[in-house]
Amino acid sequence: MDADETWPSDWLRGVLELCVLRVIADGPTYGYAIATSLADFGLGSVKGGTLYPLLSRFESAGLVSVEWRAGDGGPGRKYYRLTDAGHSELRVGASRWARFTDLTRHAIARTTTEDTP
Amino acid sequence: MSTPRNHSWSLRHLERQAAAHIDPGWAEAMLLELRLLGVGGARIGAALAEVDSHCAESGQTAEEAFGDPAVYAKSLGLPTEDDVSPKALAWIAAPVLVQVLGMLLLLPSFSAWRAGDLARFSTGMFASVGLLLVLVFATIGRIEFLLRMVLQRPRVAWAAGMAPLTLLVAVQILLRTNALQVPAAWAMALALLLLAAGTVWGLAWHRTHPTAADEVVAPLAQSPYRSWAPSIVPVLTTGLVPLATAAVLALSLWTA
Repeated sequence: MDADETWPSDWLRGVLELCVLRVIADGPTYGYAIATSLADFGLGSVKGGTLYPLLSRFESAGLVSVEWRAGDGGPGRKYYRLTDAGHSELRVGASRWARFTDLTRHAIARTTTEDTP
Repeated sequence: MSTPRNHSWSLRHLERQAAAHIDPGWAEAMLLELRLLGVGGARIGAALAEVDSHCAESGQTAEEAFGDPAVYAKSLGLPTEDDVSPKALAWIAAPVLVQVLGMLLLLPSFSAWRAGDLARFSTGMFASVGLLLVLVFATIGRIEFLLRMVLQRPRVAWAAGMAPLTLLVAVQILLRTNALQVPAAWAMALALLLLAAGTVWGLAWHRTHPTAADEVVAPLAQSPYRSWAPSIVPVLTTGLVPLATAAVLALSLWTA
């Protein structure tokens, strides 16, 4: 997949929460590193104005715990770690998303086949 | 986005500790919005430090990465700590109102006492006190709207503030019929009692509500910044009316 491809923002809005939870599930990480991982996934450049409000909502909902650590010669970094509730949310969400994408892929493929003359 | 030339005390402190990589104008607008929303100082410091960290690592400006500072501040949905409910604000305003009543009573009765006369209070004075109370309690529930207007449209706010002030003065000038006259010493004693009661009440409120002087603190701050600014808040809010009263009395003695 082309890493520079831009996806419709509506699509990203639906799946971004799960993708961010998935990145944090790999171990404590901070905002800019999460944005970089999302870009590496091929989701494109996720703006700070989109990412950090999401992280703030995770924090309020108890899906992540946070810790400030000194940066490498730069400003401090706020590290996010998935809580048990966050792991549970990711498990359930990932399973439902997989069913949803299977369903939509099947529906779209069938429609496309039927439309083909 | 325009960059204000003069930045607040909070921001100058934060520029050293939490917002060194952000445009000062952007940081100040975000700080201001979070303050208006009633977010606590520690959370504001952390939110700014996170923006700073992202900008330092990505090389982007805050405007590029986060967009409009006020919209971004709102989108964070941070929990509020300051109680800005009309009831809480009424508790802050009430001691000051008692002090103002004391001041309004003291100034004419002091002049009457020096002249060896009775203290006389016109219907205009009672009407303006009533108007003042109505104005304070009518605006108290709209404090956020008023603060935004003062900060964003200062000329309109100035004009809107002058209108009721003019009305208060006009009422005093037009309604000059004598409504009450009492011995000046008694009126002065009551006025001083009101001033003292309002001051003690105000100071007691600030002692039990220290969050009113909530500092913006950067996370990982090596040495917590100590400033005289928060400690002066109770002095400013509680001491302003007695100080102004003393100044007017001193001026009247000096010009006599």
